Amino acid sequence: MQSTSSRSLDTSFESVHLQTHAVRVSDPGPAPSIAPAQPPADARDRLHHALEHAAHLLPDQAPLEMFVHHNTLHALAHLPFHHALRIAHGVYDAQVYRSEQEFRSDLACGRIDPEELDRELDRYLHQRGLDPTQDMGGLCTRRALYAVALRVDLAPPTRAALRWRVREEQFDRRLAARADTNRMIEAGRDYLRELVTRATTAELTQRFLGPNGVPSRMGERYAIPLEIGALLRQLETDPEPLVAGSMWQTCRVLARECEVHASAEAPARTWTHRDELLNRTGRDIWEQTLPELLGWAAAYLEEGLAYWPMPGREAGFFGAVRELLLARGHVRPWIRRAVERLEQLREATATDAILTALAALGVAPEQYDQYLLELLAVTPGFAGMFSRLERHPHERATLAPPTSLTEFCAVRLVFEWAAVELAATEHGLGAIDTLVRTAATRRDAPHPDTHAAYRLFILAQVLGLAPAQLDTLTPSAANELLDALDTFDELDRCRVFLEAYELRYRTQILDGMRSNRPAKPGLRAARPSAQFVTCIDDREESFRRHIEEVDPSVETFGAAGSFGLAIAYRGLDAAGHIPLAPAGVRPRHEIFEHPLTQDAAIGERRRSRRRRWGAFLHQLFFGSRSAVRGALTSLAIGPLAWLPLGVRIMAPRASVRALAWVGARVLPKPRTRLTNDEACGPSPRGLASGYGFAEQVDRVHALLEGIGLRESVAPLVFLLAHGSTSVNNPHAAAYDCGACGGRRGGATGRLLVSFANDPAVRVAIAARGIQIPSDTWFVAGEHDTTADRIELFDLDLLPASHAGQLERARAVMEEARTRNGHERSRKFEHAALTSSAQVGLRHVEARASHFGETRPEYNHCTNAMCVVSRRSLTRGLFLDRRAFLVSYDPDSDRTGAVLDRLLAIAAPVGAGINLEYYFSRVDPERFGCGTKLPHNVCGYIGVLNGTSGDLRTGLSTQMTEIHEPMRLLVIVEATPQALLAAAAREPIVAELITKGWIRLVSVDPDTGEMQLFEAGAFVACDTHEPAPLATATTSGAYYAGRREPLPPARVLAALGGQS
Amino acid sequence: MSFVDLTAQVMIAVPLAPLLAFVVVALAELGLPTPASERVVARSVRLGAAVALVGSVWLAIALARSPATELVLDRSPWFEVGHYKFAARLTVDSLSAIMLVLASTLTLIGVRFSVSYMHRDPGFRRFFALIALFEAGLMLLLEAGTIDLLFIGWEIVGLTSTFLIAFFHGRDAPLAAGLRAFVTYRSCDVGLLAGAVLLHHYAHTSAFDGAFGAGHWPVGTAHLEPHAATLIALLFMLAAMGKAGAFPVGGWLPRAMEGPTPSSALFYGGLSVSAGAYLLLRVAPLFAESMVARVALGLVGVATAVHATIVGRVQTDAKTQLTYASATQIGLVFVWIALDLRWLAIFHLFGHISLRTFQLLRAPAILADRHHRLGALGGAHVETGRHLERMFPARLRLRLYALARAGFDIDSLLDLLLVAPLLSVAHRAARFERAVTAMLVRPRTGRGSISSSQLDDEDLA
Repeated sequence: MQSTSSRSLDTSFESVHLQTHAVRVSDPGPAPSIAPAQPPADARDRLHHALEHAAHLLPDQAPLEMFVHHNTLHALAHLPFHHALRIAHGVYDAQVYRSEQEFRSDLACGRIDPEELDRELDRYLHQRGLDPTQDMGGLCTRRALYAVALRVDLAPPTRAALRWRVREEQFDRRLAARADTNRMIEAGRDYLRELVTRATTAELTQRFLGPNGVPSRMGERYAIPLEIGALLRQLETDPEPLVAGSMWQTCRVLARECEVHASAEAPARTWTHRDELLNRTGRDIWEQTLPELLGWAAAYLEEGLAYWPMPGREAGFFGAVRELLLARGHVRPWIRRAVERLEQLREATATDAILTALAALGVAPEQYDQYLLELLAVTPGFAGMFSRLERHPHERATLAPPTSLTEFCAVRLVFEWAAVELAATEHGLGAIDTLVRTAATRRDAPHPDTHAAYRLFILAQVLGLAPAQLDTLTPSAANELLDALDTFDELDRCRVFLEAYELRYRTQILDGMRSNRPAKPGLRAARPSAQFVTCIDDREESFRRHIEEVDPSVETFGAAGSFGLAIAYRGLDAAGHIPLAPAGVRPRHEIFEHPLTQDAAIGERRRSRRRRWGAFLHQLFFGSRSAVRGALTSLAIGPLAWLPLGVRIMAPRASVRALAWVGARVLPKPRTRLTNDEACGPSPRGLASGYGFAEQVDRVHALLEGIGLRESVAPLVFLLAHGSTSVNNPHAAAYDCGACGGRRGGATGRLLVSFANDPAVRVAIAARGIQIPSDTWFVAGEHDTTADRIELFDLDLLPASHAGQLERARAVMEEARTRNGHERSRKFEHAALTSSAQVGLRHVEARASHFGETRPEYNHCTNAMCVVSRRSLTRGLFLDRRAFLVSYDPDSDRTGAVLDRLLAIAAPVGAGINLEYYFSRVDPERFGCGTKLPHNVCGYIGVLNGTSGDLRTGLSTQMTEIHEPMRLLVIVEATPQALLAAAAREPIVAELITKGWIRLVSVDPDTGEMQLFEAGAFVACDTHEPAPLATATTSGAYYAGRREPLPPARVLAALGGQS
Repeated sequence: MSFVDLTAQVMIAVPLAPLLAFVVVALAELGLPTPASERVVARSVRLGAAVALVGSVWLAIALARSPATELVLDRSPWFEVGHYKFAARLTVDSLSAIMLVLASTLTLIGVRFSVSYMHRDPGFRRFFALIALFEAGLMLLLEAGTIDLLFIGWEIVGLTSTFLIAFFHGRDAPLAAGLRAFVTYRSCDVGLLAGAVLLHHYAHTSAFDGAFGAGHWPVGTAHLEPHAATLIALLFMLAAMGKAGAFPVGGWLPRAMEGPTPSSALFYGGLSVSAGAYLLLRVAPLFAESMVARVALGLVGVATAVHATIVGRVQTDAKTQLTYASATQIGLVFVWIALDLRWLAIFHLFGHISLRTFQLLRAPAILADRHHRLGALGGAHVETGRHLERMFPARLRLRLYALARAGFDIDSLLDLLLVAPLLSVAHRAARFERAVTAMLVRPRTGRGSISSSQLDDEDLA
């Protein structure tokens, strides 16, 4: 897989050079013979390869209900990070870093440190093998030049923009304000005075009005005539316009002697028929074909949204569309042409159709890769969905037919063929197979004023050059400067910026950890009053911190929210089984939730009432959209519909409570249990219907060992999974638990708890070295990360002896959720910063139930690091909800097996989330799905903008707007040797680390020494004195009144008040 | 202050309050050095909408308690042009009272929804300004006592509708959709304008009471010569068809969902598209006079409902499906008006608007709804569209489906038969004009023909 992808990528990037395809002669008549000149023998293989290549580069997003975060650039994950970004910039024509402007404003406000920026610049020069001290035209060193390029915007303007700046902003008659501007002006005045007295008119014209300047324009420009006396007088009164003007004109003269070339080479792309036709006729055939194609694609993929499903879908996309188009007459000429072609392809398979169309379009087999990618990448959403569902058929709805990218491509190409043919005939363009070629997009030759003079003029000002020095600058020196600037292009500058941006954050975090790390990190207090195990999710960081602040006698842990299980789960109210497992893991166990025998009657009542309710909803859904039933609905319930709408929107929180109250009365909920057949008999779906005893012991042991809970197990241990509640949110699944495949967790913890509370299991685990006291009880629960509510399961099983302890723990959770809600609300502009904790909680609760809320929560937004360590490293440290916290005890993991297991889940999951946020934030339109406001759910599989166009993939701006895009900082409490060994055993982790998609820091478990993995080796990163760590009594006291991301701080309450 | 005066003031306040909100937001945008905060903008518009709602409810209660069948504010004559008298006349009768209360309630709900929905959008202020203007236009349209005032409200509603469809002007699709709606409105509004002129001509007044003298809504009758009634009714019908997205000019309606969800819900879930039906209800006495107009309206209504319901059944996205559902019901309301079932029409319209607005505002929840529904059904699969299979043989079914997917090619046919010939005439006219100009005017020499590099030098020198 990997080798294929790199090879295919190479082919598309090596072909930057112009390749003109050999022109083939064919009959240019209106209906050319399409008897497929038998495609070359290798055409099929080429086609196969081209489709694989395209599938690899298309978005890989599952239908919305199964949304799981993944690296948007998964196709390039085998390449080093910055290199991959450069390639992605070319392939997807996308932004891959934040804009320089944003970085510069970060530099101005201190988010990027100037010294660190220079340090990263040095590192960059070193990596590129460039000499920082190299002299640039006698003016400065390469390093100084690049430091200027980072700080000053030297991007060539358009000619219109330059004209505007000259005319309206007097860009050429004022010098940028700098410390030594006055000195420059004075030096310039003296120099010019000297010069003016003995200059000819022609010389003066050139000096002040530039090449081709005419003396008559002098007045307009400087409000003086072109006379020596006037010039001298002006130099005495206000020399700046003349000094600046002469410098600008000198630059322009110089620019005309330089070799000017475009600062960035445009990426190569295939010049398709459409481009040629657009160029020649001004009409875009894709405006005709794409809506038609995408309409059919939506109809084929939709999973029950349309009342009439597309007929004949079993025949595949190509076959079904062919039959439907042939079934009727058509008005639009290009479709009539397409129907003629389809008639001829009546018996053809999709592959044959593609090959025929490609041959007719004159695409040679060598061009397949790029041509097909070019075509498919125009509609990445639908093309990607066809491909995704082809490779993951289990994500397709049960009754929907299978999909295939080949079929999609066949329809795409036949449409293309028909439209091209028709347009070519209409405009008399001759044979269509001569219209395609691969070429670098040519740009107009850059203008010397915008590309050279402009940059030289600004550089001269920034470097403090007087007119005298500028006069001595030779064209070759100027060339050298400009070439050096071109080498350091925007992507490189942003790369340096990003590194410095990450470095500032990393330094803060690592400094905080160094100050926070206790002398004996392995030391644990006596038996805690309770222990909470939550998901590693960054949103649980604050929740854990608040629990510890409320009651310092408890301990918290983080473990992936599936708690080591992978089940196909069917809840009491669910329509079917859903996989609760990390992405890529197929569950092998099938688990049901069923009512207790005593409550069977209630369960039955609930079930039958819900059935009727479901049938009613079904009727209402489709009925209200039909004609006659729609009229009846409008007359019967329509007149009152404004009432619930108004109540739900005006009082979201109260109305949801009222609905829940009614729901509880009308639909009584029975007490339930999860099935687990220890005999592991096969389930109806062919899976094991439960975990056997040995497996149960394994799973419980693995969890406890993984989080390092080997001794002093508390009387109550809570396993809190998480999910999220939001209304009116198509992307709801993205807010749920990633470790549970984008679903609400809960059931996994509940099942594991039932194992852990089994005395027989405890005995077996004790034999393996983990003692669970007999008075310990495990309780499972689910944390709702939107409304900050906690639901606990199976409390009826709790021994009476634990009732008091449970009450106490519940009080802790109640207080912690209130504070957590308050902390979360500080990020929302609609919440007042001064509000009390209760008001903050109510604010986030209302978000979970508000129809008009596009930000039910900020989800993983601002995530930035992943800490795999004992809690002692992070306990009491305010990490601002930006850290995935994975519990790990290096002391009890001598073999490194536990580390392997943790990294294998935490690194890809964390990096997937982090990188998806990164790319959706830096280019919301290409990598993200843009703003949510016009989104419209299509076929239950994705969203469209409005009602037309392509499926949008990635995250919306509302989800990512406050994100700080940087790579995940993974901090592991393990020695570099242990980390290298673990990475060597896990290729996915190794790739992330060595290619720089995550930044890895090792914290020595014993000494606390910190080392960063950089350029293939660990280097110490704790040689400086750490900055003092801010201290506050509670988290609330620290963040009070502030919305922006905050550096770490030490929170005393969580440490039991100790300082 | 007497009761009557107060009523008059409330009648003025209802459209004026949202208009003032619009003016405040617009002036703040133009005049302030920094843009007004979201809070200020949202509060102004909410206040305007709230005043409109309170006023509407007050008017409805006043109407119910008053012995008269309508509340009238008449400052006529406003002005006269030749023989044509224009009156400043607002009327609230049972038809307008019902619609006023519903429209102002839904607008207030939509505004509240948008406060969080539109939060942080760069077009936040523009959106709220347009919604306020829309409400002002709609309130005026509903309160108008003369066809002239109705026309003003009608145009404001149409204009705001266009701007909100094209709200995301960074992309092409919303602009094209907005343009399509705009062109359809403009073409069909010719009917309203011509109808208004003819009404002046034949009835010598544009006040509804004057034109349809005896009796009050819903029992008014018109006193016009039959051919005049027919002509005017057909012209008004054309206007209503454009606004309501009726067959065959409804192609803009499904495309109109390009704007943000709340404006789509308010406009095309109900209020704006129902303005067409409201106009027809308002002039229902005209239709009662003319069998030709009634038949025509009935045919349009049936065609709209049948076309929309068939096409709607194959739609694959939430919002388009709801637009077609909306068009279906509006078609049926047209039929009721043609059958002179005025009360049925108004109740159907009322129920339809509030249900559809509800559904459209909740359109993004369709995934969760399905999840909930399937869960309640316990995983039982419910087939849909079975009666299609019972009713038609396989071949015909394919054909029907394919036709429905293309909306029966109505838009393509319109393009082919109407738009293309028009454009070609226009192009020819343009070519002719250029040719004539070329004959009359000598091409300029000198400054006009300097090369671009010289121009550039001149500018930068």
